[in-house]
Amino acid sequence: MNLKITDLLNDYTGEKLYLDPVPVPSSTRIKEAAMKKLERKAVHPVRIALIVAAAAAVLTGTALGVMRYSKNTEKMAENWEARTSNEMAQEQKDFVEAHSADLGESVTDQGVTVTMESVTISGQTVTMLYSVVLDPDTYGAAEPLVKSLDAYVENPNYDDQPDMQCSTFQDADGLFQSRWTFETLPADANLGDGQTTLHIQIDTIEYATEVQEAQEVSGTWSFAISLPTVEAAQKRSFDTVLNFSGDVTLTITDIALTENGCTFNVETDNNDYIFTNSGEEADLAHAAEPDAPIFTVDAKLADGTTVPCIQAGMQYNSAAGLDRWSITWAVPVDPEDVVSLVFSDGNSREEISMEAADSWTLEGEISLEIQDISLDEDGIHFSVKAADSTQYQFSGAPDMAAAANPDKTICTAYGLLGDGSIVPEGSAHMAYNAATGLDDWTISWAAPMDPAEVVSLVLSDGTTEIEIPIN
Amino acid sequence: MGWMQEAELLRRLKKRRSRALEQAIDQYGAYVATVVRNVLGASGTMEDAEELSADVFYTLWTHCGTITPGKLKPWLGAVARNRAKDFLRQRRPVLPMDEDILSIPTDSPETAVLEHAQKQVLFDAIDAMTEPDREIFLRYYYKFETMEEVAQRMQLPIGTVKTKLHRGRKHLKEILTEQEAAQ
Repeated sequence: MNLKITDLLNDYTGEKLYLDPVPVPSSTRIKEAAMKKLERKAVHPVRIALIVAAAAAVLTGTALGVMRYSKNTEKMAENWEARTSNEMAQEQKDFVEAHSADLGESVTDQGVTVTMESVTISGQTVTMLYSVVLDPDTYGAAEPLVKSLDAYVENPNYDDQPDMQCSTFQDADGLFQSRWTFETLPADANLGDGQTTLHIQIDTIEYATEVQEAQEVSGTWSFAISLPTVEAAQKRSFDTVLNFSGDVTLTITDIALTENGCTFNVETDNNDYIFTNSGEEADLAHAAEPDAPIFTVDAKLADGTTVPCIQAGMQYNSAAGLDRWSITWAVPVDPEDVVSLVFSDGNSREEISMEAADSWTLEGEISLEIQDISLDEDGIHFSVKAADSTQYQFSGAPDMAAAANPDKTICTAYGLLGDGSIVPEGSAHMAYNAATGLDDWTISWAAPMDPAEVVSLVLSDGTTEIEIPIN
Repeated sequence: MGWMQEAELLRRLKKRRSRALEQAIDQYGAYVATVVRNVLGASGTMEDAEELSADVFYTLWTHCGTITPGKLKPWLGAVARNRAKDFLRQRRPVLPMDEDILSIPTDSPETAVLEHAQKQVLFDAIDAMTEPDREIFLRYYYKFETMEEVAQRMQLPIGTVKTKLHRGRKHLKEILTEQEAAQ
């Protein structure tokens, strides 16, 4: 067997590669070149999988300013700007695009052409952008309005037709945007699983001019749209409790974020309060009745932009005696991009952080701030900010350490696996980092461990304990 | 970049977040370009390095699902080296490797490839080499420097470089031969 040494080293990933200092191109230049490559891939002639093309187009737009977004993404960005007076952030637009695809399926009947232009799938919701065009020879300058619209989904994995809510808007360009939310889908169902067909049936179109009364035309405009495959975003849940004390006190619990909005429970003695759309509608409501218990909730994203609520609905949970509110954002938003929720009653506001902490504090006899945690096959690594490094110690054998150091706070750190079992510690080692002023700790596993198996870390100083989830 | 930050970066790449790719380039662009330029040496221009570095990050975009968090930097280094090597091969079909072949006695076909575990043993053996043997070996076989370049950079007589390379090859051959015999 002949082996080429240079080829054997193809997979070599040694730490020390003896790199000589050389002038290198700037990161900006590399970024531009990388994005150009992605653009070339994006314009590949065969657009078999809509979602693949959509994802490629996302990158095309990012680097070069050449936007290849789907019509629905562009429309949502327009609506966003109209509502917030801010341009939709690139990352937000990318997120919508990753859930969207252009369609271009048309049906003509009775001189009326209905075209399903573009679709966006987010969780339980399908948002369809479509146009209705009247034949001018038959209908003159009349403007159309969709009078009867029905939709249902077909999927081999579930037979029962889920309950559905629909809202339809028509924009200044005359385009329609219908948003169907299928509320009772099975828990693990994803409308973007690649096996879902959305059936849309329009039976009646109304048309009218400024001088002519509305008339109706009946016909059959039927569509069976194979929904493209999209990855469902992870729902985020929070145990946070917010006590909102304005004129009316609300206790808000069980907040959950989805792509389409958020849900939460409200406990209050006042039955007259409501949550409503944010923006102009809320401003008008507050202006009309300044003391009325009218609340809004918006999402704040990492880039500082605010996502307004366009719909708020409530169901009373009689068993729990709580109101369960469902808030719908103006556009789909990645739950992980939401850094806080802003609750307001028009006079005061409360902001609840939705961000994962980047440091954790053990508040026992002494205060230890834990930062920069990482895992690898060998163990846990983290830095500790402490007033006095001699007052505490992490140990894999806390009892022995406590006996040997009766004046010290003895801490432990261990991992938890998905089945709840503990990964036992081996040894603990600390090195003071003069550059950061922090104590850099390494707690080795008792045996090498696949870090991907560890679901959380538990840190304890014997008095307090914190569990840190690992993604 | 810590393990969790890297896991988060890879997760966002998998979700096709272009910002994540930009972040990766901000973080590792200079490193990747340094590896590429080191391998290209005088055989490539700054523009070549830019193009190949961009290739590396395009590969990251398409293969991010295969990378283990915590291993991103070495993975990028390996891809960068291989891209640069391919580029050199296009320019110079035969790289100036005086003795690149290890002949291992075996019953296996000539085209046999090493299993992952076998490669790891080999890599461990390289990591265990003492200095300056390891540096000489990696400069020559990993970075494709010529013996003269290695000698010049390390300020060693060329005879010493030749001897050390010969020893390194012999050592690896022994390890692989032992492995083959054990199978």
